Amino acid sequence: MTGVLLIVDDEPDVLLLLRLTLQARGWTVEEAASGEEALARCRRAPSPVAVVLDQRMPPGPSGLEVARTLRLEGFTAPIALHSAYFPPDVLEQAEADGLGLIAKGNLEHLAEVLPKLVEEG
Amino acid sequence: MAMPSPDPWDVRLAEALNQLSDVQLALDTETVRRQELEAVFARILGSMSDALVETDPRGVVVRANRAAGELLDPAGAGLVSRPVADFVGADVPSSPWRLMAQAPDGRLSLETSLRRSDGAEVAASLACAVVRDATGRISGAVYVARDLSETHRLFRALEGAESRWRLLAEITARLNEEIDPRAALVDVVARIAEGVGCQVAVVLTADAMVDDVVVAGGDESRADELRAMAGRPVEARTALATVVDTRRPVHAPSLPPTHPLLSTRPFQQPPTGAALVPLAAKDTCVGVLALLVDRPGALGPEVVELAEQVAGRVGTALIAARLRQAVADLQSAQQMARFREDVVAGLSHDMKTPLAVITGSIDTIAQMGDRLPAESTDKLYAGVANQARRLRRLVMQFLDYTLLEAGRGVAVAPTELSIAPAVQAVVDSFRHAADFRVEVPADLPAVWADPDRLDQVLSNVIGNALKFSPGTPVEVVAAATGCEVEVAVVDHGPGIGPADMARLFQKFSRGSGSDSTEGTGLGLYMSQVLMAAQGGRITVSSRVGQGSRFTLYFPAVAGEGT
Repeated sequence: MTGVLLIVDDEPDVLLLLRLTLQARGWTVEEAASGEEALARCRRAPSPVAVVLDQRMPPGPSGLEVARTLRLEGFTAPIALHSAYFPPDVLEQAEADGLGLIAKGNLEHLAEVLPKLVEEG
Repeated sequence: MAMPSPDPWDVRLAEALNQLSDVQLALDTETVRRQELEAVFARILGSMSDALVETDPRGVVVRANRAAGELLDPAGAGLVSRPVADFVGADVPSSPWRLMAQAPDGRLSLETSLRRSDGAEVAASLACAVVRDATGRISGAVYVARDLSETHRLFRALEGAESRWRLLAEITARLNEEIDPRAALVDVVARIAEGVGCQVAVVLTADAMVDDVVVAGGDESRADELRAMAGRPVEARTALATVVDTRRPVHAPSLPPTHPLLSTRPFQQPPTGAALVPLAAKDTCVGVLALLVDRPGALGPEVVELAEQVAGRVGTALIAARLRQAVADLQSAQQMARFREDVVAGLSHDMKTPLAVITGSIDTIAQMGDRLPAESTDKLYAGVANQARRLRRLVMQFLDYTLLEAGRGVAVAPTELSIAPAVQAVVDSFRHAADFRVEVPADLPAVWADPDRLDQVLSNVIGNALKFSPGTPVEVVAAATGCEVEVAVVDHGPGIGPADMARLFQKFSRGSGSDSTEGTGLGLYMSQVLMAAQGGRITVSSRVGQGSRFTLYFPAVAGEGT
């Protein structure tokens, strides 16, 4: 797979785990520790081919909010939300916005979903 | 021979006899008719409800109807041949001449007081008129009287009813003014006592105990005896117990002095009569309204009826207030239950990320361990350790909370420990997350603290600092102050506003800047409890826009190094 995958999470341990897992599968991975960092990275070249966002990253914007902002700024690559728990309203909005949904804790699932996300994106 | 012509005298005699018999016949007919008329007249007079008395020109009674006898002479001594002046006051003319003098047309109507043959006075409305015969000569006078005492009695009853309705309306209004009707009871009881003119007590009961007694009016020492009933059980075989159990009133207009009215102990000044009315609605009875009188006959039916209506109002108001309180209690219990549900939900939610990292890291090491650089594996292990600590903190927090809620307090095992390494260990566990400026002198005195709890509280405070002020450095500064050692965690984040400050250490409070679904809101609450349990304390100072300083104080142990 070519291109940069951006993973965004406020937990360093989660970022570490994701990075190792995805790199082992051949992805080029970059990390961001907050919504703002993610936005800054996406505005720079080369543009990531996909973004995986944690939903809650207090005190900054949520994953949902970052996704919306990216879309407004013309970012077209696939975006997925990655969380341990999706409240019903978040679920609804994510589906309406066409975001992928990945459950935290299942790395296999993550590894399977991402290629499809990038292809379809 | 020719008939002799009749003797003219004979003819005249026969004619005269005929005329005489005609006149006699007419006279007889007239007499019969007059007798019939008199009989009709007598029947009319007899069936009249008004008293009618006829007098001769001197004012002596010649005829009186049955009603007159009932009104003026119930003993039956006789009215006829008595002067009418015996029965009327000075305002009534006692003969036709006086009547003519007073009223030129010979008629008079007035309200007056008549005198019965037994001397009693009777209020009456009287009409009198002169009677003339066929030639127009005055032959006497007629007096017609109507008994007014019944009318007067009705008016008095109406006035009494009106004043009772007014009292009832005032009491209802007073009860409605208060959210808790018990606050109005003193007023209400005083008003009834004043309005009815006796001693009034409201005895409130709950679960067979006398809860409260409010008394007004009447003998003060008996009022004290009544008030002394509060806090004692409702005694069996008293009228009070009967009324509360049956929810039926007891009306005893005359009481034997030893009658167990409200308690089995007789009063120093027992009442002569009493009425006990339940304060009830449907199946609930919250007490009794008692009216105690000291004069026989003072508890008339209208007083008892008033008491029942007042009791109805008071009972309904008290029971409604009780229901409102029960609803409020239920709502707050529901709210508490919802909080607890949120705590459990929050907890299981917060545990997912650490669990995900632990299992993911272990799986990754297991599957790819040989392909990973050693540095990465080390980092993964460190991540597992870190998240495991976090899980442990969460679980301990929750266990503490449940124990605390169950009233069993928190378990602390303080010991003498050196604070510098303990603080350092906590800081290290957060090291990767932020820049720390740590100032923990090595020569600090030992403190008295539970190492696990120190870890828990310090982690909570540092965790908060990082959460609410990311990207800015956090300072951890320790110092010895008198007989304490303080450890301060300072951040330069947004600070804590006054509204949040007020609720900071309370259960379930989360800062207004935090996501409302994150965490249980118990961290600072538990920190405060734990510090206190170790003989220490926690304080906070903050400036909005500049940052916050949380300080933990531990008791220092006297010894070397101080």
